[in-house]
Amino acid sequence: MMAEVVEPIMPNEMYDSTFIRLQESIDKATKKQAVIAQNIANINNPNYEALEFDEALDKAVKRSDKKIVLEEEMAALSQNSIKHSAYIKLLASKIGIIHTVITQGRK
Amino acid sequence: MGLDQALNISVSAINANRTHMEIISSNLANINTTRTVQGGPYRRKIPVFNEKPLEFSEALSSAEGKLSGGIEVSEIVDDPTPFQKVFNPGHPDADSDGFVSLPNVSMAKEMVDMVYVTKAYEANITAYNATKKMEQETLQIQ
Repeated sequence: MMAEVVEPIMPNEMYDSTFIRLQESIDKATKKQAVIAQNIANINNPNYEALEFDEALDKAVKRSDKKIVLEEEMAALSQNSIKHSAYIKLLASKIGIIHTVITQGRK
Repeated sequence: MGLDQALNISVSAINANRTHMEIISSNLANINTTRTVQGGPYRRKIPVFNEKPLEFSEALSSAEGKLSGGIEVSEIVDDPTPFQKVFNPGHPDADSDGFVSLPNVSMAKEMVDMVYVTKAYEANITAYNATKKMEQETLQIQ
């Protein structure tokens, strides 16, 4: 699979900036999940250097403390999971609003 | 990509921990073995972990920077520490002074390793389930 080039979506009447920001947040939470999974995977690997997800750069970078604490990773895992869940619910309700707008016209 | 990669990483860690568990089982099972195929007493085995490189297709599409393909047991090496010598002149494998070389396996060490492995396994299962839940929720957007 080749690297995809995704054109930035411009906000318009139907898809406002909240919509686009929610999509970006879901994307970031997805990437962060892989980074946390990798840290947990290497919990017993003595030569591993811990990673963290850099939100601004949108990629994984080496962490300054380099040491993994399992409790912290598990906390980050559930936090990320809950955030992702919240973004999904918000996005679903935004879609629900658009759905209402585009289907209620005939009444 | 994305959540699939997170799932793959967790699975690789679950696999690595299972291999480590097999090694611990082998060490504990052979705690008194004085004869092996290679000759001499059993030597304690140690797994060597290393970061799994990304598969070619994943590396092309990965925008996540330093992320790798998880973890793997790259090799299983022998513990070079000396054997334990126990005075037991009646044993068929005793040397001329009556000492038997027993494997360099320490029960306590293996038990401690086992706790680590069990906890790491659980942690990775939790990570897997959290990612799975995220993926299921993503499918519910409509």
